[in-house]
Amino acid sequence: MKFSWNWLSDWVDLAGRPVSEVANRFTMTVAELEGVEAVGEGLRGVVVGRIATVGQHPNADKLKTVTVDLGGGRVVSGVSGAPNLVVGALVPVALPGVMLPGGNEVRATEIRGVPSGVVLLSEREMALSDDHSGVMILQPRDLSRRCFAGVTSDDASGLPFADGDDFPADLLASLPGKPLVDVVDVEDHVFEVDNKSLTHRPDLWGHHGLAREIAAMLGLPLKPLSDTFPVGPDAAIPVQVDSPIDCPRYMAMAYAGVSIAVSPFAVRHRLRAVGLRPINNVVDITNYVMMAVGQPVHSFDQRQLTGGQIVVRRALETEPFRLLDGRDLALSGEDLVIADALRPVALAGVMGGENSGIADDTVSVVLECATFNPSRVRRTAVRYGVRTDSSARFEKSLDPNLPPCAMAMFTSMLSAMSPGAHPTSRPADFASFSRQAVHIRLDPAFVSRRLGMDVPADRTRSILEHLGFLVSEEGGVFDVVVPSWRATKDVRIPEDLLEEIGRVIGYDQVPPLAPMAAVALVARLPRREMLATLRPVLAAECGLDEVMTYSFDSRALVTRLSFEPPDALALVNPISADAATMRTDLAPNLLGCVERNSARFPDAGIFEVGRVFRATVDTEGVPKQPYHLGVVAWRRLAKGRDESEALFRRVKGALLHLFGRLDLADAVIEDDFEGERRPWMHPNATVAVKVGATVVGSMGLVHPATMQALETPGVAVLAEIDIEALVVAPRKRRVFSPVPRFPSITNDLSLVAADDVRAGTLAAAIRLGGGPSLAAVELVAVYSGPPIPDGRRSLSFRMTFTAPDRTLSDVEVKEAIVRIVAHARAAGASMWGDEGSQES
Amino acid sequence: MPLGCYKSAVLDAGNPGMDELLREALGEVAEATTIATVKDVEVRWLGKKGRLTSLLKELGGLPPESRKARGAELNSFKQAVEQAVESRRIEVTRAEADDRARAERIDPTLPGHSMAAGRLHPLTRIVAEVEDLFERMGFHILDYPEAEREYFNFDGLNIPADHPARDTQDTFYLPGGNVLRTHTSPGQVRAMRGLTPPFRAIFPGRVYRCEATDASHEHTFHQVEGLMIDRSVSIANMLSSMMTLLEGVFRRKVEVRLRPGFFPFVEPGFELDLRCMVCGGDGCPVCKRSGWVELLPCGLVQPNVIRAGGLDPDEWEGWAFGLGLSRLVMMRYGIDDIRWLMAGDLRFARQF
Ligand SMILES: [Zn+2]
Repeated sequence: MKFSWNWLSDWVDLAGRPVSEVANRFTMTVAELEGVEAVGEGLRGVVVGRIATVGQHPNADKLKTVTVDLGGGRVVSGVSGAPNLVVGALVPVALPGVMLPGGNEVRATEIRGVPSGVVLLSEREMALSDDHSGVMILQPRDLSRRCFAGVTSDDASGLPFADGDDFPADLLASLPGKPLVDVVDVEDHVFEVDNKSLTHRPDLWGHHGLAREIAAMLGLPLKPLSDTFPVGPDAAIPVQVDSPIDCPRYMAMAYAGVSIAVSPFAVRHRLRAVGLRPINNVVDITNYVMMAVGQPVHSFDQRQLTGGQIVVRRALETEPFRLLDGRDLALSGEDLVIADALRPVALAGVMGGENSGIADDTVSVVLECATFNPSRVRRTAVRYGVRTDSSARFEKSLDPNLPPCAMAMFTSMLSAMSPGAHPTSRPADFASFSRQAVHIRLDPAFVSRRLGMDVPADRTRSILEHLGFLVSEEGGVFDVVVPSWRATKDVRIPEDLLEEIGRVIGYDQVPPLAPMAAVALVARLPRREMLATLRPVLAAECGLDEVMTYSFDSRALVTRLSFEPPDALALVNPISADAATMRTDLAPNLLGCVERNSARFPDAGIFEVGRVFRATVDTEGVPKQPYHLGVVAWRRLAKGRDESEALFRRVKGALLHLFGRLDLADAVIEDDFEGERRPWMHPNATVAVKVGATVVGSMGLVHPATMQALETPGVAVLAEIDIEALVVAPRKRRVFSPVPRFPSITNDLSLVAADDVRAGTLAAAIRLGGGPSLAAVELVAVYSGPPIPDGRRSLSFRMTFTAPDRTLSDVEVKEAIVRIVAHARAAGASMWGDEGSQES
Repeated sequence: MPLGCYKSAVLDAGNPGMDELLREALGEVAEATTIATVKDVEVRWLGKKGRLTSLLKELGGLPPESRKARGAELNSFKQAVEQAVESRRIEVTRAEADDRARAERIDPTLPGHSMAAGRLHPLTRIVAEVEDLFERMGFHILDYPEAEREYFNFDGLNIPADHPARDTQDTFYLPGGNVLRTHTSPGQVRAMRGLTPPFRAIFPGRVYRCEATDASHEHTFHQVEGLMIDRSVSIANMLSSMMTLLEGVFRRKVEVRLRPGFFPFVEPGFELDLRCMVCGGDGCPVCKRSGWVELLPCGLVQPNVIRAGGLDPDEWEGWAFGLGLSRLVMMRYGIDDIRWLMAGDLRFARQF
């Protein structure tokens, strides 16, 4: 929301205060100002002139020659094309040498043979509006309050003159020659505050409320709003409020003798400064009142109110209604409408209807000043996506005492800006709100204790009183009465008062004080403890880069992967159709990373740790959302089984290393995976990841069809582990085993076997044959190709023999090898070079 | 034994032949310039077939009275030669190493081999840092659901249905009265229900807002929430704790200020601003010329929230804060576009 320094000055005297200082105090005590913008700058050289003569230009039909009185006997002459030149009018003029906004310098020239030494300015030429229809003619109403020191006005708007008033003779004589900026409030400063930071302050949505806040902040007096106004002779318009809970107050009054016209400059200038577009005098007044009082008001063309009555009721289901802006709605029974005898004429608190708005020929007006239920207004505004300045205010819970003030200002401005306009009726006033004041008991010691600094009781009291609270004391405790404009929901409890006191004192006065706390051992979450090790191990030790991806599945991606996620948790309002469900696996997004990265990084591995989601809920109703670990490694250029196996071994090695570092029980990553299969799982290269006997996940080659869908050549290996299962998986206790005292003997054995004979099978055979003296078996090389026949491969194992109590003899080792070879043959292997063993 | 001592001993014995012999042996030792020639000299004089051996063989033929003296003489000779050989060997070894070193060259401008280590995501690094910081101060580190009951995300935090504050948080709704949490604040109520007061805790994690993304907005980002519950908690306490946090994070003294800020779950609520570290407060584009950078919202826990946490607000009080970790990461590493964080792009990942 934007607000104007000049406008504030109607109620609080800010003269002599630096703008930046007030802005800074506002930020520190009320809400952050997003910015301060200077309006009407660059007009310091413009002065007021009085048109003395107007004559026809000798050489041009459309031009006039003028002389302008600049006071003190100084008269200048010039040429103007403006159609509205009137002798006696006060106009802004610029003499040669003056810079105008936009960087144009006024020069003495000759126009069609007539010298011109002055420029009469339009509003557009001064960058005040886009009006270029003629020279700007000053009205008494436009003059700054600074011209009338001591002049008081009973005008509720705070402006001293009505439209149509003539300039008093003394002003007519004294104004010419004065700088425009000293006579008219063209210069202003506009403050902008984020609406979000005023959500809790219904009282700050108009200039008067802001002025009250600033007055309290600066310790200055505040001019009150008037709530009295003249009324007409007729009976009040009948107002029927069907559901008072939706509308605690409804005031309405009729006016006649209205003529629709352009608003005076001062009103248009203020509206424009705060971001509103001037339309016509009646509409501008309603906007002006809203911005001044903070109370939205609505004007109906009285001719359009069928039956001359107002009914505040719920809409009928699907009742048709066309908004002022032309949008057609089918209303809901949850909407509150203002209706006449037949049909809705406004969506209460949100926007009027096209059927009843102010038109150019409107002559009689019905003004609505009401208080609506904040939730109902908000829900209707949200339902139709119609957020207006009006709905934004009503949904904050407005003070039901504001409508008379708004009516007073409207009445006064209407008669000033549309001479002859007057109230014809008494005001209708339906009021069902509670006038019971809100009381809060406040112990002054509470303020000091919770602020953390000593605040004398009388300081607390004076701050509250400045903000409009009534304070009385009994037995050292304050009884604080909350003013009506803060009582709708904002201020309820002692903590709310603490905030009022703290912000006025200034939080920079609070000395930091370290809290005292009991020393206690803080337990760690087992999962967090595991993740604190898991991530660094996978990155620093296993060479995998960590990524984070969205918690949503991409519909386009899972479709390409032929994956229909089971038990997927769908969003009610996804940000896009592509991101409509929560991920059930980490795999799809990680495969997406493979696709994105593999061209630039042809050989790499990544991991992600994060939650995946299920539609299934736990006992509390919360969707299940276990943490998973996903690992994927790829080789874009890989060809053949060797490289696939190498990549597989890389990831398997990483997981085994990780599990070891997590002190998990021995892991097995070779048994066929028997769980629920995903489309990216390879039919015969997917294994279960087991810790002890517990299956914690799966790992395997990515299906060639998936690689094709990803348009990624080469191979990829993917593992997905359920971290929740890992957290509860069996652990291994590290126990020292004595270092062998006797030397060990190492032998290599190369076996040749058919491709489908697994290394694990042969290793098991070797272990079986080796007996107790075989301490370790390690696969050291796998080879296929000449001279090994097609369909077979060679596997070389390194075997370590040792005994705890002696040095093994050659004979013992040879006997063991004979047994091993026998078992290997039984498992389907033959010896490299047809027979015997090779010893190293 | 120093050579000089031997010499005098030999000369004292008045045996010029022996002296000549020693001079010859030591001369040969001195002339040896390689390990191999040192070895040759050693063998020639001290070896099984060396000259000393043949002299020793002659001992048997001497009369017993001169045999002893001659034996002592030869022994001294042997020690002297052995010692000379040994020190020459050390000299020659060293000289050979020096020669090798003089000849040896490498190109130090060859690039270092890169370690095959992977990188942690920068958010992981910041989270670890913040967790460590708070754990050192006795805070529980907790983790709560991302798909959360609407109650914990809103109602329990004093944000009832239709509260305008719900507008400011563009919420992703899920079926069954759940939402993707819009902040880490639901953890406040859960922590109060789960822990026994007094306690202090932080809970970092992912949060979600249903809003369009651009360089500075993401629908998914990271926050950390902190909560302290005790018998008596003041703004002064909160301020001190926030300064400790920030001095820990930024590893330097910080200047902060508290401004009023509205959040329904704290009362009073604040925005905490940090004196701009880029310009030191003089004003620059980073701080929008204000000299201050808005960093974190905080406040004293609203009594309704304490009540929602199952505690009696007359007995327990607290402060709470929320810190945007994604923003902190961007500040720390100068990341200009928040979307990098969740992009899964190795060009980004490998920079940390
Ligand atoms: Zn700065």
